[in-house]
Amino acid sequence: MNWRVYLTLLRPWHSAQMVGLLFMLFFGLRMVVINLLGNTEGNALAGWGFVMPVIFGFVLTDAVRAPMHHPFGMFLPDLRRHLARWHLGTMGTLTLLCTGMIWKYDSALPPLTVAGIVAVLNLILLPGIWQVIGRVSQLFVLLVLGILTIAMVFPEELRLSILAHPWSIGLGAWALAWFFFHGVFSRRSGKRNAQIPYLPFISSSISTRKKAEKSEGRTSSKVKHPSPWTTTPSDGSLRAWLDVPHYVHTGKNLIGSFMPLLRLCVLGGLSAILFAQNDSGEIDRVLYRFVWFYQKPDNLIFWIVILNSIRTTGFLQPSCVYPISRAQQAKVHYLNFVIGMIVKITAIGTTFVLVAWFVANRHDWPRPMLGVVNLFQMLAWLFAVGSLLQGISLRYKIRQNTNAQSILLVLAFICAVIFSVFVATHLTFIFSLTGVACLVVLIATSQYVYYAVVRRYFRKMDFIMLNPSRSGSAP
Amino acid sequence: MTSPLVTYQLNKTFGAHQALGALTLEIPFGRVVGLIGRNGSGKTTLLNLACGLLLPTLGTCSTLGRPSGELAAPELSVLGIVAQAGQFINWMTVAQQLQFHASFYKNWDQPREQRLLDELDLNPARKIDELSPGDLQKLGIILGVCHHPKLLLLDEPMSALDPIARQSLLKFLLDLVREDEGTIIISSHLLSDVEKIIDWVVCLDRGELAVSAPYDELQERYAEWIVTPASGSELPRKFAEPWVLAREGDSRRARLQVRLPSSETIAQFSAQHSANVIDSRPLNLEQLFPLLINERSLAQ
Amino acid sequence: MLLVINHHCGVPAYRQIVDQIRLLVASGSLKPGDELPSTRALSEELSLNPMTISKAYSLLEHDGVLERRRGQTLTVKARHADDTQASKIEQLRRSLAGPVGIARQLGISPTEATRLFREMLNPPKP
Repeated sequence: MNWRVYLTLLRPWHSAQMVGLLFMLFFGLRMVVINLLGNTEGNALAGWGFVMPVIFGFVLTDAVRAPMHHPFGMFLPDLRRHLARWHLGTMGTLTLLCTGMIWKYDSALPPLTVAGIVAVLNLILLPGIWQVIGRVSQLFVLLVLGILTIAMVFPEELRLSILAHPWSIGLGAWALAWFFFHGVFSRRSGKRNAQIPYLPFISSSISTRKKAEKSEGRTSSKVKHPSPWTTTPSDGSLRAWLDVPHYVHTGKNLIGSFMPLLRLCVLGGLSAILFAQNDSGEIDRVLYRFVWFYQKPDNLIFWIVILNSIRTTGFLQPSCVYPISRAQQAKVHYLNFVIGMIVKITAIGTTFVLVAWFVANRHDWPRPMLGVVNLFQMLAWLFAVGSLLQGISLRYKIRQNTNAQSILLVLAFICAVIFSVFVATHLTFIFSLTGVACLVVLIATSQYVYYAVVRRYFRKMDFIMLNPSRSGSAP
Repeated sequence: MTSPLVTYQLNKTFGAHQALGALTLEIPFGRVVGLIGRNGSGKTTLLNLACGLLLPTLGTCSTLGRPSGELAAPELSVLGIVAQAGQFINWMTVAQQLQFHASFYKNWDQPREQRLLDELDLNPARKIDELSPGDLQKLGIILGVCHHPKLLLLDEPMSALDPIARQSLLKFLLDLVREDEGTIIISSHLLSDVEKIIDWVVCLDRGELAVSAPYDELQERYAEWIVTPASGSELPRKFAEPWVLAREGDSRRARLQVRLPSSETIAQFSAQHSANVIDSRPLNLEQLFPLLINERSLAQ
Repeated sequence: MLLVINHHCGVPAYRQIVDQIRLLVASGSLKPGDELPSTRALSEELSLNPMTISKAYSLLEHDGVLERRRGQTLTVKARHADDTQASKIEQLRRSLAGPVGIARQLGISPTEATRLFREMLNPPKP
């Protein structure tokens, strides 16, 4: 295996996209956490020195894991050895770089210990246990990033603990690193890996059928307790057709598929209120800042939730032909989008406002009345942004769960942040008549444009792509 | 009766790849049409265009009297499609999928559904996730036929079925022709199976039409000759006549595949090459297939 | 009705039906006035497209082998003795095309072939 082959395995273009995405995500998370916990200190360079190995580690991990999990991983014994060598090489280089960066910034920290920690972070995604159920590995990635983010906010504590026990931490780290490495590249596990399908974080061509289906927007196999299908779309009523995509993807009709969200809102809201009951004020303050839209972009959680949920799939995915015209399908798709947005925003928004109101009540803080108005601002913006996202995805045929869609979502997220800041600093304008008028124009324009895009899509687009994944639909 | 599928200069291009080029075709009503062609000749593309999943790049395609991009409930509820793969909702059981699908059609025939489940030996309680490719094909067939379609499109419906299931399906398709009085277009590589039921052949080659004719006519148009030389002479290495399509054998005995000419032309042929046609046999679909394709490329 | 269709020999199905019905009529298995099964019934029995059956039937009607009585049912037409004989000869001629072809391929002379034919027609006495 020469460097060219390794470079191909690394998939430079995709990896670059993914790395960029993860960095943006980390940046956003960091902002949220800093705002929430109010701590604006942060050892930037050292922080990045610890985050870089994790992010690059994902990319390097996929490059070696995918071929090892492929069936031919069993029949090419040297494959494992070559991959191990290359991985060691790149990992080693990365470790040196990061350690150098950290040491440059803070030469008091013992370099060997730091190197050990960096190595562990680099290899953290390697162990097979995280691959057990596909999606888990991706959640784990986010979890690690989340932990790191929080850790970055308390650099002093970290620093002191490293200085206090340099040898034990260092030794432990290197032992763990070796353990991770050996776990994947030993002969025994190599054989075992070849039999377990692998779902990479970066969509690669050596992905299993499920992943390919998911990116096609096909139906989820996680539907556990479907309700019986009692609707008859053959009546031709629009209402019946609205139920169809929901049933196909969640096993519940339109109303049923929103139930989990509503339940979560009610439970979450009640829990928050009850939790706040027993507290003196610190948590109240956090909760208040969390749900209160008024000033800071703390409502980013709100944005993340809503934007992430904008994954409405197209009506009746390719290679299914149902007795409904394309024009009607466009209508159904659009209506479903609108209903979905309204329900989600209203549910989550109301919960937030009620919690904030309740908390404010206890402490005589300003009531969230203005916040309700602000909520509508955000509603408008979300409609516009959501339509924009969906419109771009449709127009340029960006399939779900691909890098391109993730990048779009992150960009939308950043737009949301910018908007929040704008609202926070231009309150008088927002609440004036012109402000409201602008808002109405924004909603109207975005919806008009989006509906036009949807109609155009259904009128002009093929429902099948050429050779998407051979096991799926065919041209 | 309006033709169920009419195309005019139909062109479909995917990026740089032209799947269909200037295809003009009219499928006659009430026939069982065999759509044949090599891999990549555009058969599946044509079927997908017919049911509106793909839209033409150029030209037109009309199904059941309407342009295929504008098919609406009235046409689609009498259109049946058995696609090659992937038309199911994987978390459902067979019974749930059938019930879901049935809700879209007013004229769903429940007894027919039950009969097919029994004949094809498909257990309605099984999850679609767990079905073998053969069972998936069976399900696809049931989903496509129970609403009495006037036009039934089948794309390789038998490739994963065992021989017994194939016979069941063929017999069922014929029953369908009798009961529903519609048109069937079946695309299949299994020529020896498909020739048992078809009466019209549409052959595509590299995205263009090679042949569209009744099957009987094709069978009577071509033949296989055994040719021996008149005493003393040898057979030429190559026969220049344009209606001699293929030659096998040596200088003392040749097997030719021909497009049958008039009897005067045959006499001329025997005289010119000092050859005797000592036997003439008809060709079945599998033997005809390469001839149909080659004829078209010769005509280019 | 005892008809057998071979799908792989290349002879169109309708032609096989026509030939076989001709044979049955000529040999007397189907007598004048006998009713033939309907298109649907026969297509079901033989697993063929009804259009194929109706094509065969119309050809036979056109050739005067069958006739349509009372507008619906197809029956065997009574024919003049000479016609019947001519039709029988025609049938034998057609079925001899194969053996003739083989004889030529094997290079067997007409005299030898005729002798063989005669021998086979008159089975040796025990």
